[in-house]
Amino acid sequence: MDVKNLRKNNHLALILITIGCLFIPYNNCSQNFQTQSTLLPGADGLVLSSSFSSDPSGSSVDSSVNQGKILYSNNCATCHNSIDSSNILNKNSLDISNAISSVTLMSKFKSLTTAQISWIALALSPLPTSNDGGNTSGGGTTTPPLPTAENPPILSKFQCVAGDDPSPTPLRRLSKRQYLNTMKNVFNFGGVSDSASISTQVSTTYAMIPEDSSYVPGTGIASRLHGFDRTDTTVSPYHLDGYFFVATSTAEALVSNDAFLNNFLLTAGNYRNSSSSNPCTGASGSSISSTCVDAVISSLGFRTFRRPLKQTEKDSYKSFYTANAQTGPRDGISAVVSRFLMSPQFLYLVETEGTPVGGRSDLLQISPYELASRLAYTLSDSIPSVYLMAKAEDGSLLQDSVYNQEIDKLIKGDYGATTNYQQIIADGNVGDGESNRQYMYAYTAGEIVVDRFFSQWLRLDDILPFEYASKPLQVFTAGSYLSEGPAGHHEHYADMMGEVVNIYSYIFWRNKGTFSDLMTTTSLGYTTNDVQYLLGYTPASRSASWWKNAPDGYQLPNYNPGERDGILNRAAFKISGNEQTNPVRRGVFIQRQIFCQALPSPEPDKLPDRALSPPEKTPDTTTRDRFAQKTSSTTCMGCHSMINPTGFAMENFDSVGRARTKETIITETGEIKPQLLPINASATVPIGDEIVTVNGGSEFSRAIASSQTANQCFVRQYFRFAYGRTESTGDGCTLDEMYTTMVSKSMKDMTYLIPKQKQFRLHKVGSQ
Amino acid sequence: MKINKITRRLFLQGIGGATVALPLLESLLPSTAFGATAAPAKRYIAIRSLNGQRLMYWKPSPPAGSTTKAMAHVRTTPLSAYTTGINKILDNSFAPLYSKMNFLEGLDIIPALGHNIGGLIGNFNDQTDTIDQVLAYSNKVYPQDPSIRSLLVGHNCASTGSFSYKNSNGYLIQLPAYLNLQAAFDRVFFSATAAKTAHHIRVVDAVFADYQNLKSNSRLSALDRQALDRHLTFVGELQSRLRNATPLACPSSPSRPTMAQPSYSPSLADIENYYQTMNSLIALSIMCGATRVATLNIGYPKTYGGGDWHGPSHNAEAEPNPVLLEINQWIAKKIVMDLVQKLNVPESGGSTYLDNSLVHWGNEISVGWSHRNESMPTVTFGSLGGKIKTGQHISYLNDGNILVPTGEIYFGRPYNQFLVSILQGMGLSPADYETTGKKSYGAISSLDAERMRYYNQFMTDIGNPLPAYFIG
Repeated sequence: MDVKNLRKNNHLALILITIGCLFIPYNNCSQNFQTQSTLLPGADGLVLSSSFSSDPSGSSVDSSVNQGKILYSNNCATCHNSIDSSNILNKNSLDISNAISSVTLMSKFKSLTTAQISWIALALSPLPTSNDGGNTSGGGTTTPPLPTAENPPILSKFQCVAGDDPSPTPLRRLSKRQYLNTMKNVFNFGGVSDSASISTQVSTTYAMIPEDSSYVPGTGIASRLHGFDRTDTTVSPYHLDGYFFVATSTAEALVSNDAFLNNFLLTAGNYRNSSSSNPCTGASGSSISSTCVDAVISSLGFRTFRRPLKQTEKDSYKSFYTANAQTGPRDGISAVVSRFLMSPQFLYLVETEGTPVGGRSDLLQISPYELASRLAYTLSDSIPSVYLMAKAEDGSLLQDSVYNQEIDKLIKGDYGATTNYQQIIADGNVGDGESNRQYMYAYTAGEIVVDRFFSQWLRLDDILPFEYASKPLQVFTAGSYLSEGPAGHHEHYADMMGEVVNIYSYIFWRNKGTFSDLMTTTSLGYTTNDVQYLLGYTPASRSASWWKNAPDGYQLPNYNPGERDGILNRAAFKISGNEQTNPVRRGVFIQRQIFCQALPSPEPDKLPDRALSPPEKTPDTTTRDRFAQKTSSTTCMGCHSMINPTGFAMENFDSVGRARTKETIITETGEIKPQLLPINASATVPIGDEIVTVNGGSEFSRAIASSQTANQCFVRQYFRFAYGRTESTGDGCTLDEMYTTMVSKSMKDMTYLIPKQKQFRLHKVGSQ
Repeated sequence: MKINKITRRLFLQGIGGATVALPLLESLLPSTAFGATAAPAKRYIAIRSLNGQRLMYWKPSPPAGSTTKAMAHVRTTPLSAYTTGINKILDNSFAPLYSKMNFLEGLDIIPALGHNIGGLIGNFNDQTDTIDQVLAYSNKVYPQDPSIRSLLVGHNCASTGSFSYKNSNGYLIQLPAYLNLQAAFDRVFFSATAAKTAHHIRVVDAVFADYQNLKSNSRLSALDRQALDRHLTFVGELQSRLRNATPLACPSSPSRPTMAQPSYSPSLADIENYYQTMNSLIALSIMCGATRVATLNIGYPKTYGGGDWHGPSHNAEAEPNPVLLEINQWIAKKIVMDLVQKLNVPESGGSTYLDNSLVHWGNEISVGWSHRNESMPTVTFGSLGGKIKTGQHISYLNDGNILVPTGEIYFGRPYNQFLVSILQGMGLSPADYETTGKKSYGAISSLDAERMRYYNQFMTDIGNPLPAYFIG
């Protein structure tokens, strides 16, 4: 493979890459933008510092950052604040180029060179990379070599500044999944549970909670979920409607059924009750003693607030019970339950009970209860178990040995005879809109959560199903049993999805692999004969449920090395739905998800006619050439100069995942054109600031494996998922630690590391 | 007409019999029986089918001499002239409804959208609320808080999303739809006794105080407080609705559906039952005064050939496509007509609920194989209490037979004017929806010069309702 550094040598490519999308919504700031007449002297209205170097090539990344800061300070700060508080942090070269192209008052900056733009982008990056071991980012001035045994990949790290505060911890609402799991487990206390029964009674109300899929207008799916369901903090009237109906329905289901109510009262009375008598013995819907009410409030408060109630809170709830019990105890209990289930302490992860660090009011060591919640929601997407809460209550959770055991329990599901977490696992399959596919081979809460990360990161739910009724597809896949009807189509699609799940599960759990391993694996994860019909391979002999935790030495079968190396070259990621590949879709997915590039979606009203439709088929033109032609205008190339080569590099796979060297053209009526068109899968692909030239999916995936941008992106994605927010300037040390662990050990080790990180136990209060 | 009060227990158990009186909503009662004089409320119901059409099946053939040119690029044909059906989909079985319906062709969405979930009701570019949400949050549609501002039901392929979008705190949310019939029923007919409502008000009031109390915690950041403020805003809306919502008053006893959702591989009868029950729910919600805005998503793909109709809609336009034809005929007769008939029952003053409503059936794409959005086949029923002139086939295709660039269809008139017709027909004025300073509703631009050269002739009129359709 020919991997080139094009930064210096191929200015045309860089210009294309950074020419910018006209579509990016950008902070225009036109009212305050410094006009050319007020700029300090400089070429083309630009202000260059006296120390400005026109060509810092060969200099370190720090030098580039400094140059970028100078450029920014002199030209951008008036509108966008100083660099430390800039309102355009995170903008990359492409964003800046876009703004220059589309914002009239920035047109004076068109004379900026590509390098200068990249320096500004580096200066705006909250996570500048550091020079490490000679494999520097240096603004992308070198390209990492391919990983080999002698040349291990990925050496550069996130920047960690010792002593820096962590980034502020925002108030987070529970994701829908966390909310549902919590709802289904909140009444699990006191040794006897009716959660499942109550949950079944009101399960239809769960559909009233919106999915965590909101996005920023104008960006389409670019910001869908803000990355992950956990990072979508949007609240709407529909959320409130849902919370209200779930809460009140649950409360009313609880009090309207004598068996539920009596059991609830007894277990609440017994929970955390140190006396020998249960204050709720004999209580019923017609008579509940004051001490029993106190116990109910205390117990349910402990479960919903995930900490003991303060006396003022107990008093408030007791008064509330009394006011509502005027029409009977059932109404009193119902009101209390409803209020708890709509309270901010229940719906949000509120962390206000910590201990000031060094006497500072804005930096808190979170309380043991808050730590239990963080741990449980991070690793199991649900409420802390009663056992975990007990560890918080007696303080033992703060002991490393106990804490580590709890991490193991959550991830490994090692709860012995207790069934509490089995409920969580079962809950994942109930009425929450997510297919069972994602849980095919996940058994513990921790495994489910890891699976959730991968499925959301890899956007498995966005993979299009086959349009098996399409005549061209039927002709194209004849003999593969793919288009033999709904059953055949369904099995193939499910098997392809299953293979992806199997592969990442195998690499993550069994092989303790790294991101690089994921991108270079040749393992075959099919467990059905569909792979024989479609790809000509024999499936894995054992079921995935066995080999994920298989003994040492067990290996999955392999594809031929070099044919489809890396998980991204599995059939599932090649599906377009029909018989033609869609290199744009492939390219966008990889740029966004694997390289963390903030590609915006095009605004439809600013597009040429039919811009969003695939190019029409012609008998003598390859898909690649047709897409290239369709996106060849300057308008399109702002983004497609990044997207197209990324997708083109995988054109050696057809639209159902088969390797190919020739392309077949089939008309809409199913006629196969006689000529086969040669495939060209060579491409020069931008991976962030790195540029690689590859030929075919395997080479490309191996280049991804060795890319610091891609490895960093993986760590950033995992951070977002684990911490429930996007990374920021104070997260450098946390990311660095994750990165080092992932690269030197494994993704699994990184998962275990996160709850042990210093930042995991800190709460930084944001500006007041 | 018998007016039955709705109780929570009734709905949960699927039985009737509760008789505690509720205040009646006079406007919902027949004038002959109660002498009501208030104008009936107006309602809007959007029905969306997916994946594109085959325009040849929608093309009417007006009998000779029946078409009148109303103005440039506007030709009308009375539906009564169609003695053998309007087209292959709206066949003669619709004849009894001709006087209350319209078929519109030549309505173009200006931006090139292709697939666009909310395009049918105005979210052309992922930036704007769909018009159902504009209506749902208008105090002209709801002078008094409703029980439910918009009832969103239906099946959207594999997702739980509706085709309605609403901005909230700077983010656009694809709103949830009720796939589950029982869940939708429970939501619409949730609680109604004064005692129960008072109980809920006390709960929400306490919750409101809890959020305010947390806001004062010194360990929250300014951004945290903003988040709580947003939450409080919506708690406040809930408080208002509980205090002020119009009590339900239903013409008949609703029963909780026995079906929640069709099975994974449902029979055709199951699917029909599913959608027809949704229709019943929509109709009942309107008649009971629970809502005035609803959307129905027809996305269940399990019927024809065992799969979806996405594949067939990709087949070439010129090629006969009996599967797609059959699917659309099925939707027309079994779902759309079913809803229309359920609303076409007396309301007051000799009018029916349908007369005071607009039932709008459309698709996200006009020409399936090429993903075009011109000449969106649009069918409406009802007149919004006389705001819409019914009984017409109106063609907005251009007089000069100017073809779109790909040649399979003629240019028409901006779809935006159809949206404006709905908004104004429901009682809104431009100031209520032209919030960005731009005339009309929805995106009105395209980068494609050739397209814009054609559409520019309509820009002075873009903020007005459709000619020959909207009569104000």
